[in-house]
Amino acid sequence: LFEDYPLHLRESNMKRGLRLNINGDNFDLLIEPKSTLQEVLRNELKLTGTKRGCNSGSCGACTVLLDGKAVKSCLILAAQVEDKKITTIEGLGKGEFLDPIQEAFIQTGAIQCGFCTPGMILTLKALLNENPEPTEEQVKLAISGNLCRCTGYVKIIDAAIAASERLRE
Amino acid sequence: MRSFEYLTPKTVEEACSLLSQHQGEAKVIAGGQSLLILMKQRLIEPSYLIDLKHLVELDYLSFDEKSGLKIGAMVTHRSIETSPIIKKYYGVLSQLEKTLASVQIRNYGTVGGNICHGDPSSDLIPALIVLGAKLKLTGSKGNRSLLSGDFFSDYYETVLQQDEILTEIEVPIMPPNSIAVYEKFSVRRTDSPVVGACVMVTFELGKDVCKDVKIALSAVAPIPVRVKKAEDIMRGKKIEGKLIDEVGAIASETAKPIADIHFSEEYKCKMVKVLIERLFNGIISQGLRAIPHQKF
Repeated sequence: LFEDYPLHLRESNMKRGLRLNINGDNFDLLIEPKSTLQEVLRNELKLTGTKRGCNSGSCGACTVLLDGKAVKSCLILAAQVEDKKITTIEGLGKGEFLDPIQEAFIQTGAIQCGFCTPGMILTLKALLNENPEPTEEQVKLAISGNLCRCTGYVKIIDAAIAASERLRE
Repeated sequence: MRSFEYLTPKTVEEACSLLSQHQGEAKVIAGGQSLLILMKQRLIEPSYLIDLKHLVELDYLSFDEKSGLKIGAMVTHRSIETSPIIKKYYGVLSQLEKTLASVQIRNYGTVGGNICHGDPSSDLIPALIVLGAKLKLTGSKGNRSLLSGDFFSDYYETVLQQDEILTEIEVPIMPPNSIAVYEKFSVRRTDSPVVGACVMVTFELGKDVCKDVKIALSAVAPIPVRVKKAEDIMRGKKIEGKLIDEVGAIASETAKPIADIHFSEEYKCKMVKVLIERLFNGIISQGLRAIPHQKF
């Protein structure tokens, strides 16, 4: 199977040095080029708030912010995002103070099993940064790349609208 | 995913020379939003991955009213979606980008990567075809340019040579009195099209008579297709119910889709007709008012 594969690559542990900026801190890591950002966040840095769902870009559970924009961390190689600012769910809020979107999720009851929640919140964080007053339709379109299998969309949308109102106060 | 060596060229020239050097063993990655899925499934197992995402020289949008729009291959879908210039002069591109995959994918995925992936089920390519966009390819032997419709050869296959890179997409100015619209049928709104159709109509000055029309379909054949037979019968005629019906039927016959887990061939062919009817009825119901910057 590996006959035509260069000898030096047959070993799977060929690693490279990499500096990632995550939630404001720099991390120096030794990783394989094939590691996705999602794998590095969970397996190397133990930032398990970022979920691994479909691992193919459909479910949005692994959403993080890359320079403030929502991206799917399972579809980005960690090696590609050196010198970028990465925000995970652990980076939202400060200490005991939650982000207004997180608070809105709690108050609205927009959580059932919670697996989709970090991805939902970060996707909405990016939306509200760009568009502080989204319509319900705009919220729906924004989270169309995030699946919730508990069918909790209605409350998630309510939470997004409530958070946008609070952020504008 | 199998291991590979990750290479980061600093220029297009360097990237082409790396491709030449590792012919057959290398793959170019841009945003990787489609490629990484194929690599995880082990459908593609490159020994060398050449990353173009950081090539700033390929991340630009430029426009002037004479030569039109130039899009660098590393421009993200999101940049197209949010560009005020594109919204003003090429409304169809802004329109289709709003539902081209989820916002997360649009934030990282590039226009060049999307085109080179060669997926027949594309939102973008039918629009590039009706707009008459040209693709600029750069290789170790120099540049060449071809019409976007001539770039695709089969399912996920293009005419791109092993040492070539798509560097620029050139979109000419739309003819006066023209409107272009895209419509798709998909499971989720931001899914890739089960069936997609894009049309551009150019009206006779101040009349509702069709001077010229271009119709392109996606996801109904191994490559995106033009429906020239339908275009031919529309020229010089007033666009109304009976003609739309006829055009929809021809488009439906042109379609040779393959069934998938959700939809049969027959259903997809019927949806082609439905989309064509929606597009033309939408255009005539809005009438000439729908045309931006009309000069009547």
